[in-house]
Amino acid sequence: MAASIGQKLSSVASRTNSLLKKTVKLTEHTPCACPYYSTAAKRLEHEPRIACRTSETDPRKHTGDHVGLYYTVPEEEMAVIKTGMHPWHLRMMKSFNESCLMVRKPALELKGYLDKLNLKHPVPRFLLYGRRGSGKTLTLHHTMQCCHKDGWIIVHAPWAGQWVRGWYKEVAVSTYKPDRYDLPADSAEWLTHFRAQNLGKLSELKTTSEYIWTKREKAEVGTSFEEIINFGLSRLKFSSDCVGVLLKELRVQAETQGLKVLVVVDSVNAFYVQWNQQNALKNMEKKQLRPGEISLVHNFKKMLSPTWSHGVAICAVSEEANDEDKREDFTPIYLLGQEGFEALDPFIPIYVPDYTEKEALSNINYYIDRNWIQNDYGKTDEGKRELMFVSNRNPFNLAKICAQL
Amino acid sequence: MATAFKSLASKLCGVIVRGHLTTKSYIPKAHLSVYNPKYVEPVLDKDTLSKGLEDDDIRHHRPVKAPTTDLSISPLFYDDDIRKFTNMMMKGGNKERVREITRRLLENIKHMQVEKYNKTATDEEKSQIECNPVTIFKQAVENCKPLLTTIRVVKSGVAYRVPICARPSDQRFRAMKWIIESCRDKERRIPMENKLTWEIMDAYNNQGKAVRKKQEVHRICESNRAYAHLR
Amino acid sequence: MASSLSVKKTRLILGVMNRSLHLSSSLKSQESEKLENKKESSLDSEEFRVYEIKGLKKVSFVRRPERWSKRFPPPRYRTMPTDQDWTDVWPTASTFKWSAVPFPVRQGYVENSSENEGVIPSKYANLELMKGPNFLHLTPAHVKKHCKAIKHFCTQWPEGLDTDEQCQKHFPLESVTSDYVFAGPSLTDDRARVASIKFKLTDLELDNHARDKFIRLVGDRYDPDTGDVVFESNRCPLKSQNLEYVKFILTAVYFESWKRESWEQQKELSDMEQYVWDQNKSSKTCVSLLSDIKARDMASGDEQGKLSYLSEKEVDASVVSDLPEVQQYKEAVENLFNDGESIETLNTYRMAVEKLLNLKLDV
Repeated sequence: MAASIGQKLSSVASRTNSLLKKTVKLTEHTPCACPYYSTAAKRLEHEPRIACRTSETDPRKHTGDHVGLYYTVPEEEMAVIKTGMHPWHLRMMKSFNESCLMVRKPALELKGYLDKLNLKHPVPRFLLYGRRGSGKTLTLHHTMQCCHKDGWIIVHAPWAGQWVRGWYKEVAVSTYKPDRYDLPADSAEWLTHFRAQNLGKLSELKTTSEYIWTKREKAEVGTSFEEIINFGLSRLKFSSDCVGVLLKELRVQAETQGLKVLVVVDSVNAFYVQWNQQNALKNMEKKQLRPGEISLVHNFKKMLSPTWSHGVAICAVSEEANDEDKREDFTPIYLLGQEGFEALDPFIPIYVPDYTEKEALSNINYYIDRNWIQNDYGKTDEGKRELMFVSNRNPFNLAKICAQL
Repeated sequence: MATAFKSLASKLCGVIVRGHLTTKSYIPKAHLSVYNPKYVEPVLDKDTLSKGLEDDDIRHHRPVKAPTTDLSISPLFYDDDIRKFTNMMMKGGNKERVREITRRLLENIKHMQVEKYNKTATDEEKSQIECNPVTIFKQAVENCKPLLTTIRVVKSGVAYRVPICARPSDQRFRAMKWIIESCRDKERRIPMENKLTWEIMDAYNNQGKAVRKKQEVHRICESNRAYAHLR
Repeated sequence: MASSLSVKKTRLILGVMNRSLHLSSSLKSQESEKLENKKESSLDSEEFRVYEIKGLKKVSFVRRPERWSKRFPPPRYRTMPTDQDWTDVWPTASTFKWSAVPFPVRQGYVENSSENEGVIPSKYANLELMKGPNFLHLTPAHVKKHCKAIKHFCTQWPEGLDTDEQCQKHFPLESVTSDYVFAGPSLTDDRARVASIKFKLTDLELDNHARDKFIRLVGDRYDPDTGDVVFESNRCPLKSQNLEYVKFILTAVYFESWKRESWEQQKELSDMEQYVWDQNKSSKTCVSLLSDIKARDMASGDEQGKLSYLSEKEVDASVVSDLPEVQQYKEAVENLFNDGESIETLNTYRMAVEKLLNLKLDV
């Protein structure tokens, strides 16, 4: 009996010991004075301030040394990524009174590819994949900001699933082709998003061919993009056509005039998988629409095919864009399906991993720095380790857990 | 050997007695304990555990109590008041949902306060702002606690409302109940966590429906003070 | 009562014996004659009996002859010389015999310490050892002796068949038949007519289609893990007939699998068991993409960032598929579909695409 208790205690002790040893030694470990750790939540006194920020605000200059560090996105560049961002992130940024993103390896890899790219070749496709909440979307935002600084035109679909899912959504027969369907509201929304992202660049761009909307209305050769957007916003009926025109013009001008175009599509698998009867978009006759029948999706699919040059397509697959019974895996082909793979192949898959230990620590330290983690125990060394363990270092899980502390 | 055993036993007794002193209960723990007095308190501190036991330690020969929840659970995710509040809010055993509501409530409070904190420039002003959502929640509950309540006493066929001192547990229950009820009365389309956030921030500033409810109860007690001797 | 009777009896016998001893000695000496006379006279005169004090007179003690009892010789292993021939001791298979086994051995189960003093029983009269079969008749010495005896009947092993691989190569078809001998009223055995042949599927000349069809035709006679095909038959009354029959089956299935029926043309990509790159859209996209890139490279004439491995050749499907870069890409895609997606297979795919499109990662 006695021996067994002794064994139990020592085995527990050795287990906890090994747990401590496994993790990186962060600070000098000061033993707790109190017997129970519920009351032992005192902040370690000589805790070193682990750097969680970098002063390098230009994403083009980020290198491997900056991995895991936060950089501040300047206010004027925030406009590029702001409209496409999830409200949850925006709220956090508002509370923190600054907009910071973490430099992560996949973004650097993307930047590495872009630097060495031969733009005369047909558009290369990059596909980000990773577990839920591992930071695919923010990686896209990081890259967008990077390209924006380089003077690229950005074509961004923030959440493609919105275009194929339908709840009480207005669907109109396309004015261009009768077997396609327009989403006037979504197209208008995208037009404003596009205008906000490329502010200042669009007025210089002119159309190269004539577009006739109706008998009386038409866009002459040399109409600026700005005017087309305004037309689309004022005449919602033609907003989808305006999107098509803009995308086509961008492809043509990239090819001929050397315009650099970055196409970013989040949750691209929504373009290729069919939604179930309940959630899919339906037309006026209650017939379920395939994604290809929607003019917005059709036009964006063209941007992803390697028929034009001077551009890059960066996509991300996400489980949320699939039906609920097709979310078991996070790998691209499972999510895209055969059709999606054939459309994008050959693409470069880039894995977005969960946080490394350094990144997770940096995240927690950033939260502490912004006064976000209020729990005293959460600020201790042990508390940080526990947070990392409980969240399994998944960025979204970590943020969710830290939100209540 | 015998003397060593005695001294160890006395040390252990000391441990047990100290354990008793930490509890808030007024009833001696030994009277309510399901454990035989031979059982010793568990050790949860990791440093002590890692040291192991000495050969002549008495704990080799004694059974150990199971640690209670509030001791063994991480302080990151456990607070007694929050737990109580969550359970009181629960309907039909749907705990998952109320926990989510509580989580969002704390998040909302934190968002409000942290935003203020990060926007103020000076340290002096910053120190004025309380950011800890649990502290705010506790203070709000504290502000809603009634000191007195009334009981119904029937004397010679007449029912009187007799003011009495409220017990601490009763105080906490009343305060939380009023906060929850005042939120349930509000607009149904607004999420519960948002209503709770407003209510708690109001109560934190000694305003709002729940605080008014407390004042109402105090007023009734005041008006019935003549019957205080009847209890 | 019984014990006292037996005591009397022995005394009587003793007395008789004493007397006979006396008699034999008296014949030889005169003194003994005198003594004899005296005794007779004393008997005659009926004197008082002399009181004999016990232990005063020396009595010659005669040893009692031992009773007969069964005596066992010591166990055989005690007398065994260390250099004996074990095959003589244990010539054939037999039950364990404790006395003939010279080494210590224990077998059995002791439930508690009170049973057999807690020790596992030794070999002496150990039933547990007798129950199980033993291999004491199959020692290397035995085998050697056996081999020596039957060597007389053996022929020379053919040359060039030293290893199993060589045997497999020159004799790919392995046929198995069995004969049964036993003591009984009938000489025939049902099992003796069974014949089977076994071969590796890779030894047959088959193309992709034929191989696939062959596997479908033979069903579970093909083992995908080992690659063996086994045909077995017992339907004919004679062994030789069965053997012929399985060989016929092999021939029939082989030629049948080479045939292409009209309905086989209807097989579509989605019916394929395995992903074959050449038949899929991926190969067409790859060829068109490469030709597009080549055209663009030619148009620009820029050396930098050019697809160097395409420089000389004409781009068409047959040329492209022989390029090492494309081969690697093809393998990666097939892996991705056939082995399933994982971070590893996706990374190999990524490497292959990087090489295919000449994308460099600059970190």
